[in-house]
Amino acid sequence: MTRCGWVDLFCLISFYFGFCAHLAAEPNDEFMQGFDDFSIDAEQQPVDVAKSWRFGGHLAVFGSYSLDDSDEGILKQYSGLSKLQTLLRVHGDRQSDRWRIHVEGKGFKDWFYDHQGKSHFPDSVLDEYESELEWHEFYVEGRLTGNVDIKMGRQLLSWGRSDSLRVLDLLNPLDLREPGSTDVVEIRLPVNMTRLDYSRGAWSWNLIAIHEIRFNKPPIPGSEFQPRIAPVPAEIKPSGNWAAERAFSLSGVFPGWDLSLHYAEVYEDEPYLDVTDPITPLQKHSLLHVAGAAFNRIYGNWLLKGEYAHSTGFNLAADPGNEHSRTDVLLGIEYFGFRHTQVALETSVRHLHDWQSRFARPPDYRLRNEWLSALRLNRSFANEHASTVLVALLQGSQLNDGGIVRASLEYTPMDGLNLSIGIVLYSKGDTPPFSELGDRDRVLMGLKYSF
Amino acid sequence: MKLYTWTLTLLLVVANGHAKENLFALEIMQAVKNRDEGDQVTQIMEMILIDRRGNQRKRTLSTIRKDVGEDTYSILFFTEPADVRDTAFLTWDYDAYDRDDDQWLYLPALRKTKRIASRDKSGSFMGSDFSYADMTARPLERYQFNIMKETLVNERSVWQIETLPNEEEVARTGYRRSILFVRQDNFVVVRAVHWQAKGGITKYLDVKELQQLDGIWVTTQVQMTSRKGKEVRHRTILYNRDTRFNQPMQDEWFSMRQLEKGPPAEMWQ
Repeated sequence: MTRCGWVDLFCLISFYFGFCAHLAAEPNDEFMQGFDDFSIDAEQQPVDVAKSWRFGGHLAVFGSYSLDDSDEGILKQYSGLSKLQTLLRVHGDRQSDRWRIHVEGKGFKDWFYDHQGKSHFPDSVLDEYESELEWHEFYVEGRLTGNVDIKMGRQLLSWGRSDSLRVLDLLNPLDLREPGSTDVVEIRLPVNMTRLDYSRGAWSWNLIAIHEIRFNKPPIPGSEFQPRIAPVPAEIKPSGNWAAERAFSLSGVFPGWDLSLHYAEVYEDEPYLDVTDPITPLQKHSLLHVAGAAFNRIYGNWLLKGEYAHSTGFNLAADPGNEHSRTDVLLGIEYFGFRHTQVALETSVRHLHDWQSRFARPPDYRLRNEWLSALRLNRSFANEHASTVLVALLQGSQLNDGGIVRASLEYTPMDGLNLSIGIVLYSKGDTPPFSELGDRDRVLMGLKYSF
Repeated sequence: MKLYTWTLTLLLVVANGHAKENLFALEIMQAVKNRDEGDQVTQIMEMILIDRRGNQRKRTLSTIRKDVGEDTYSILFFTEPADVRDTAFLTWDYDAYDRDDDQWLYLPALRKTKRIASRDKSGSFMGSDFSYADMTARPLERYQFNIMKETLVNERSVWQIETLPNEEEVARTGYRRSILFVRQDNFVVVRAVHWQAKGGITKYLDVKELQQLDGIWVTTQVQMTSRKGKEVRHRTILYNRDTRFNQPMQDEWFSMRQLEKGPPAEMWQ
């Protein structure tokens, strides 16, 4: 080998070992200090096989403090502290191989009326707001055959895709005695029904017979949210039979999207005024025939949702003897791409066909197009120790015909214990239900222990 | 000229060796992904969430998992704590990396099942230090793997592998870089360090207990610790209990209908 060859080889060997040394260099292993020997004494509970009764529920205290001082009539009584309610909800479940029984009851007592003096309030208000004890859900569910399930009893059944607005979610009435003060979780009222579910592959069918005719619970005249005490015409409730209301749905669930078709014959929750006899008008409920559809579609971090319903059978005081039809459309979008945060925006419009301007006057208050929009923003903090919720419900195509904005902060210091504080702001509108609101802004507080 | 030729040749050899190392790293990760995790599995999952002051919270879930072709379907039912009891979570986890998973959440208070857009998996799984990305398989196509060295963890030989995700995967998982420690005898990731792209948090996964059940390796105790610098921000200890493989299962268990009905009674038989 020539001198030049030795030099070349030396260079190459040096280069090789230098390069390999670089490749094999020990990386900075400082991060390894992040591993530790932490341990706890974890008690491992036996698995609850749930063949015997399992009970649970929650005990809660809710308070509200009105920020608006009013000297007018009954509202004077609701200035400052306006609610101090204790609530107990208990449920029990028993599951066997094929059947499950669910029993749930709830009751509340509002100490505000004792504090303020019951003599200041009409009996009808005390009956509805001071205390209540009722069966909530009570049902049996199980499998009839391979693909057919049955669920019988008082129950909640959610239809549609919307979280904040209702187009197709019409099988359960709502407790609207305190609009805006309570989340939708607490306000749906169960009804007695029998439900048959059949599924095959991606598709499922539901047949529903509703045995109990139950309507929304509106604010009581003489209460905080309906301060005017005026004579209310008698309400005629339709007579029930085993299938006084009935419904059917077909749902398909597929990767990235789903679709459902719905049909229902149900009574309208809000009554109309029958003035056939002008001396003694009556409140009656229209029997509606509703056909609709709903869908979800995923686009990356976006969820697009829609609902459509066409309803016939509306009666109006301004047009006795004629039935009207209405089309409801809802579009919503939800974004999941922000960390720990969800944002949802929904807008719906109700279009009354063959509308006449007199329908907009009392007692019908029906506009040709009724717009309602909802913005919901949830964010959690500190590994879900705390969360904030902002819900804005605004009426009108320009979002300027009244609304409710609720912001709350929840904190969970330990499992099962939940503290909350929030504020509700009301904006008065020209048409119901927002025409009855306004000057009711309040601070809400809650303490809930789940067991 | 000679020096140039030799250098070029050697560079090619070294580069080839490096490429082979990367290829080997990918093969290891493929083996990790293909490792037998059992099929038709039922399990009780218990999570202890510990904050920086040592306060503990507990989440208990019943889980069911089934492979459907190349995809994996799973359903989780929360049994504790009381305020989230009966909440349930259904996932159709697709093997194809360009296809987003389908996920649904059942909220018992609303009696409603919500579909969830699931492309972003960086969020916390039920308040724990595990993210949704930690609970699902990683699409290897979106990563670059480098073997850093061979070392020991708990007296077992492991490969220490650096994983660098592409931008899309950084957005999806929230991790900009990870180092995995893969046991050489069974291809189980026994430790991992994940650097989050935002927030300066580093997460440490540490398998504390590993058992072989019916011939399948199961992580029965895993810790995930979130640190900022050296400070522990939060910690989660995950226990997997009562793991059973090859349980009889029906396809309809992985449906919205089952989410609302709760765990099938047959699950406990």
